[in-house]
Amino acid sequence: MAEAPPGVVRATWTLDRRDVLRVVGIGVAYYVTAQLSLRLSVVEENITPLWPPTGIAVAAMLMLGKRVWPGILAAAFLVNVPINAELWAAAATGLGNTVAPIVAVVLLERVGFQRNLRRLVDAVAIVWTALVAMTVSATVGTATLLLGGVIDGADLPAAWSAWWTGDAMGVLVVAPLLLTAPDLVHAVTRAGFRRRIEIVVFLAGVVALSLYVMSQELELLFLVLLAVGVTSWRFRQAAATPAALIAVCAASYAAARGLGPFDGSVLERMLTLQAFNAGVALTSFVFAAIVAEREERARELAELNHELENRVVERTAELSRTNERLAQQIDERRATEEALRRSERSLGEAQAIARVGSWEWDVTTDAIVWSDQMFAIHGLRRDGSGPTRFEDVLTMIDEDDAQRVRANVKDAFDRGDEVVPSIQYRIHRPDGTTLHVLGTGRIVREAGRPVRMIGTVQDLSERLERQREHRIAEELQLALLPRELPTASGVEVAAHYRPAGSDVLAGGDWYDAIVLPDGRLLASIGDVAGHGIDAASVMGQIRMAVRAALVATTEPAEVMRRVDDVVQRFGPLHLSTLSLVIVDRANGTIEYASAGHPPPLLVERGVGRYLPSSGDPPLAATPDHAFRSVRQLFPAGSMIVLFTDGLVDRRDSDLDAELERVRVAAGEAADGPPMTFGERLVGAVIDETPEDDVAVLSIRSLEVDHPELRIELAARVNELPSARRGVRQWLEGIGVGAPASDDIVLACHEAVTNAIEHAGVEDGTVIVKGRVVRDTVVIDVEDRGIWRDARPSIRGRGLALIEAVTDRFDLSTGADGTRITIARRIGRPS
Amino acid sequence: VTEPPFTASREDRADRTVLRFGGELDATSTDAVRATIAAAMDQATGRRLVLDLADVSFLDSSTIGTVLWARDRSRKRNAAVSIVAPEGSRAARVLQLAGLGSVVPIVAAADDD
Repeated sequence: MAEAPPGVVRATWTLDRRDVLRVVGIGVAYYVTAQLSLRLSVVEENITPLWPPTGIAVAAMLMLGKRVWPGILAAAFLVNVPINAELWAAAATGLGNTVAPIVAVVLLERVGFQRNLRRLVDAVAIVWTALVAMTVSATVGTATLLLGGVIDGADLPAAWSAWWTGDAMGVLVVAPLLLTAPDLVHAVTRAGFRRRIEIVVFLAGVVALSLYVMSQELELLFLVLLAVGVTSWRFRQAAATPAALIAVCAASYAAARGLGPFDGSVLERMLTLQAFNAGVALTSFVFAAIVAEREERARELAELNHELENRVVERTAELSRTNERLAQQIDERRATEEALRRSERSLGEAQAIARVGSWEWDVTTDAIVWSDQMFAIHGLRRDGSGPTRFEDVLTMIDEDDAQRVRANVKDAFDRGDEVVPSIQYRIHRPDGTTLHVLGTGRIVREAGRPVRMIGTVQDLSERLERQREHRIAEELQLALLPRELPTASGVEVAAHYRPAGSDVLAGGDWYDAIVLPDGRLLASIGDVAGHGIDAASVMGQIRMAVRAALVATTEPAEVMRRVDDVVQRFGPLHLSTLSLVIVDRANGTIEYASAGHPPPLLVERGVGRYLPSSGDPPLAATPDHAFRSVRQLFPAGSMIVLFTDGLVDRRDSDLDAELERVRVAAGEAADGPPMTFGERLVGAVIDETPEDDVAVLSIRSLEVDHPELRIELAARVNELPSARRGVRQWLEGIGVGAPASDDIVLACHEAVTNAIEHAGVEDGTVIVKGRVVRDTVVIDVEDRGIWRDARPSIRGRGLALIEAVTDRFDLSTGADGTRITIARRIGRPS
Repeated sequence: VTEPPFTASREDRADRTVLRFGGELDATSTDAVRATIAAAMDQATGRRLVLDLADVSFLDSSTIGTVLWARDRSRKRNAAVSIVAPEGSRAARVLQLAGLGSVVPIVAAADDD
C-alpha cells in the first residue's frame, strides 16, 4: 500500500487533478450509497443496520490512500444535513463518519494488513478493526442525535448498537468485496467456462436461498450461512465477498422491514442481524482466508515435493555417471595391467641387452627375488638353486668384496639414507669365471624402518674393456699432441682440441708446430679416419714421418711426398689427410701443401678467406702422387687458421655451406685474445657436443714489437707536467705523433688528474701503463688510493674530454685501487 | 726546480686588455692564471678582456673551468671576454672538444672582435 505522508496529501489534493477526481469520485460513491442505505434504516429513519458507505470509505483509503478523506467528509456531511436539524449536528456526524474509517485504516496498517485478504491474519484483522474503529462513528453519531433531541436517552443503546453494527457490517461486507474485486474479476474473466458458470450458479443459489429464508417465519438463517460457507470454500475470496454481500443485504433488508426471522423488537432484530452478519463475515472471508492459506501451504508442499523429485532424479543420474566412470576406470586399469605386463617383458629384454639384472629384498622376511638377468649374470638357472636370503647372495661375491658390500648396505641403513652408494665388486660364478659388476640399491622405508630394498646389478666386463681401450687411445693421442706450442719470433701459435662425445672412442685428429733452425715455423695438422688405438697409432706414425722428412727438406710439397711414401709403404689402410704450412715471418709469406685437407684460412682485419687449394688427394690415395706447394702473402696482423674435418664434416649438411660458416665465424672470432681463438671458433660453429674430434691451429703474425710504458708518480698535481712528458715521449718512441699524441696525452692527463683528486691518501701513488695492442694504444691509469667518494667516478669536464678523444674508456675498481683504461686507435691507412 | 709551466704577458690597448698566455696550463697553474686575470679585470674596468691562448701548448679541463670562471666574472662587471685560439692551435682543439665555441666568443687573433 503506497501511503503518502500528510504533508503530501495536502499538496496533492490541490495540485494533482487525478487526486481531485478520486476525492470527488469517492465522495459521490459515498453519497449515493448512503442514500440507498438510508432506505434500510430501522431507527427513526436515520440509523441503518448496514452502512456500506463506511466500507467504501475504508476500502478507498486502503486502495487509494488516506488522502481521499475530504471527499468522505463532504459526502458524509451532505448525507447528514437533511437528517439532522442543525448544521453543526450534520458536521459532527460527518466528522465521526470520516474519522472512524481513518482509525480503521491506521489500525490495519499497523498490523501489516495485505489487501488481497489471502492470509487468515488479514481476515481476522479486518473483523477486529471494523468492530473497534466503528465505535467512534457510533458514539459520535448517536451522541449528536441525542444532543440534537432527535432521540431520547432510552433509545440510546439501541441507536448506538444499530449504528455500530451498521458501520461495522458496512466495513466487513463492502470493504472485502471491493478489496478482493480484482480476484473476482480475475476469477470471472480468466477462469474456464465451467468455473464461471459454477460461480454464477453458486451466487445465484445464495441469492435464492437468502430470499427464501428471509420470506419464511422459520429460523433458517443458518442455511444461508451454509451456502455462503460452501461458496467461500469453493471459490475463496473471489466469491466469498459477493456471497457475503448478498446474504447481508438480504438479512439487513429483512431486519429493517421486520420480515421473516426478524420479527421481534428493534433491539432483538438488531442482535439477530448482527449475530447473523458476524457469522456471514466469518464464514465468508475468514473461511476463505483459511482455505487459501491451506492451499498455499499445499502448493508449497507440492513444490517441495517436486524439487525433491528433481533432486532424486539428479542424484540418480550422478550415480549412474559415477558407475560409468568406475567401469571406465576398471577398463583402464586392465589396460594398464596389460601394458605393465608388456613393459615387464620389454624390461626383461632390455635387461638382457644391457646386461643389467634387478632384484628385490624383503628386509622383514629376508626374502630375495631376482630377475631373469640376475640369474644369467650370476651364471645360474632359475631352478630353485638360486639365493633365497641376503646372506646367500653374499656367498657368491668375492670374499674381500663381500665385506665392502655388506658394510655399504649397513652404512646406508644406519645413516637412514634412501640411496645406497653404487659399488663395484666381483662375483665368482659356478663355472669358475669371475665377473666385475656394479651394484646399485635403494632402501624403501615405512615409518622410518627399512622394509624393502630394490636394486640392480650390472655386468661391467664389456664396459670395463671398452673404457680401458678408450683410455689408452686417448692417452696415446694426447701424448702425440704437443704439450707446448713453440714461441717463434713474430708469430703467435695457438691450438684448440675438442674431443667428440664421451661415448665415442678417441679420434685421429692431431696437430704439430716446430720452429725450424732458420727461424721459420712448420705447422702441421692431420686427420686419420677411424677411432681408437689403431687411429691414434697411425697419426703418431704420420707425425713422426713429417719430422723425419724435415731433416732432409723444408719444401712443403717434398715433405708431403716423403710422408706419402712412408704411409704407402708401411701404413695400415686408414684414410689420412694432412696439411703442412711453412711460415716465414721475415718475408711475410707462407708456403703450404695439402693432402686432401681443407685449405688454410687467412683472417685479415676481421675478414676470413680461404687460400687457394693445391687440390691434392689424401695420403696414400694415389701411388707416387706429385704434390704441389703454394706460396701466399702473410701480412702483419693477419692470422692463418688450420682445422680438421670435425669442424665442417657433419651429417645433414653441405660441405661448402659448412666451410662458409667457418669462414664467417673465424672473422668474428678473430676479435679477442689470440690464445683462445680456436675455442671461440669451435664454440661458434658447433653448438652441441661434436660428433667427431675437432682440432684448430692458429698462427698469428704479430705487429712490430713496441716497448711498454710505465710511469709511477706521487698523487700530487705538481707531478702532472712530468707525467705528460713521459707519455708524450713514449708515444713518439712508438711512432705516434701530433695531433694523435696530443689527444692521447690530454686523455691520459685528465685520467691522472682524476686519480689524484679522488685518491684520498696523502702519499698515494698513480701508475700509468701503456702498451700497443695491434693498431690501438691502450693506457691504464691506476691509483693505489682510497677514494673519497663511496663510488669511484670521473668528473664532468674531464670525462667529456676523455670520451671525446678516445675510442674506448673503462673505469674499474679492484681490491687496492681504481683503474681507468683509455684506448685510442692509431690506425694505419688501409 | 722546474721551469715555470706557463708564461703570461699583458697588453693594455684603447678598447681592450690582452692577456697573452704561453706554455702549459693545467691544475698546477689554475690559481696563478686566475689571479692574473682578476688583476687585469680590476685595473681595466669596462674594457674588453682578450685571453690569447694561441701559444699555449697544453690545456686541460681545469683551463676550460678557468675560461668559464673568467666569463662569469666579467659578466658581473658588464665587460666582455673573448678567446684567441687560431685554427689548428691546441687551444682551438680543446675548446672545441669541450664545446665552448657557443659559450665564449673565440677569435683567430687579438685584434679581431
